[in-house]
Amino acid sequence: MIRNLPFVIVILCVGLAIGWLSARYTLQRTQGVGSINVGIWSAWLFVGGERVDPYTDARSTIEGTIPLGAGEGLAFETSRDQAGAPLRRECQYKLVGVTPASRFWTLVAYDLTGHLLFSEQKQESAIFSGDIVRNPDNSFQISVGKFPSAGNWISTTGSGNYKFVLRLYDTTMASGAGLLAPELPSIEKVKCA
Amino acid sequence: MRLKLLPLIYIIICGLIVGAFTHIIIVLLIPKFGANDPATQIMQRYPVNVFRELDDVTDVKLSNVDPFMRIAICRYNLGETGIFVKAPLSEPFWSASVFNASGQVIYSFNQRTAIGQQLQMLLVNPVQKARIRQLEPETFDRIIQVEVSEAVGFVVVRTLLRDESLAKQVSDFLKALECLPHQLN
Repeated sequence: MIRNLPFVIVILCVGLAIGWLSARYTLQRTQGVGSINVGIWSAWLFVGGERVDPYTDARSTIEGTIPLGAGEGLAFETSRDQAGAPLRRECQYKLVGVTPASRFWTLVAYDLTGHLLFSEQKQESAIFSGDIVRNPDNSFQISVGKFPSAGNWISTTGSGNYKFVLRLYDTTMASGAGLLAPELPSIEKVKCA
Repeated sequence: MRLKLLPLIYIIICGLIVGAFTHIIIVLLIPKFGANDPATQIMQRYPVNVFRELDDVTDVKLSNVDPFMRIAICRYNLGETGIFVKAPLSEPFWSASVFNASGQVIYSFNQRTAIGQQLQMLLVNPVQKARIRQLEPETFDRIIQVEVSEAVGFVVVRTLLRDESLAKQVSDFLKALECLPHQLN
C-alpha cells in the first residue's frame, strides 16, 4: 500500500482534474445538458421547476437568475451567429425572422456573465417587441452593432463576446405545445470592425 | 511487476473513475452550497410576508435581468395561517411564480391564465387546504389555491415597463401588492 502511495496520489489528482474540468465544460456550454435547441437558440424548459435536471439546476445557481416559471414565459439564449462563430460586440449583425406566438417578447444583450450591455448613450442594448417595425408579413429585421441603422436597431459598443436572450412572455410554447417546429430569428454576421 | 509495466493504464482508468465521481459530486453540490444564488439571498435578506420591489441598487445580486420588467418579491412563511397574495391595482400585463426556499418554481401563471385576470392566490399547506375545503369552500372557489409542501419560500411578481413614462404606474402596482397571512376560520 505504502509502495503504491505515489500512484494513488497521481490517480486522485488526475481524477479531480478530469472531474472538475468536465463539470465546468458541461455547465458552461450554451447548448448544454437539458436544453431544447432550435437552430442556434437554446431554452431550458424546466429551469427552476421541480422536474429540473441536476445540470440545469447547477447552471441556474451559477448564473444567479430568478428563472421564468413556465406559466410566465420562456427564454431562449444564444451566444453564436448562424455560422457558429461567437457573437462579438465589435461586429455588426442582422437578426431576421419571426418569433413563436407570445403576448410580447424582449431581446436583450448580455456579456457572458449575465451583465447588461449598454450603448454609447447608456441605453440598454435591448429591444421590446412593442417597439419593433415589422414587414407586412409580420416578420422583422433588427440591425445589431455600433453604427446607427434605419428601422430596428440594437446598439452595442466595446469589444468581446456576448449573448442574446429572447424572452417570450405568456407563450403557449412553455407548456410544450408548439415546440415541434418553433421559428426563431436567424443572426447573420454583416461585418466586423 | 505488471504494475510497474503498465502504470499509465492504471492511472488513466482509475483517474477516469475518480473523475466521474468528482464530476457528479460537483454538479450535485453546486445548488446546495452556492451561497450567491438569488434564492439564498432572498431567503436571508427579505422581510417576511410583505412585497418589496427589486430595484437596481438592491442587495440581491442578480444577473440576466430583463430591463423591460419590474419585479417585486415577497418572502413568505405560512405558519399557522395561509398566505393570501393579491394585487389591488391592475396592469396590462403581469406574471407570478411561487418558489420554494431552494429557488425551484412550484407554480406559475400570468394575467391571461388567471381567473378573471385577477392576481389573487392563496398559498396553503396540505392541512390548511383540507380545512378550507371543509370550512369555507365557497370563499375561495374563485381564487387560485397553491399547495406548498414547505412553509417557507418566495413569490415573484413581474410586470412590464414598456416606457419610462409608465414608471410610476408600474411602481404603484408593485407597491400595492399584498402578501398577508390569512386566518382560517
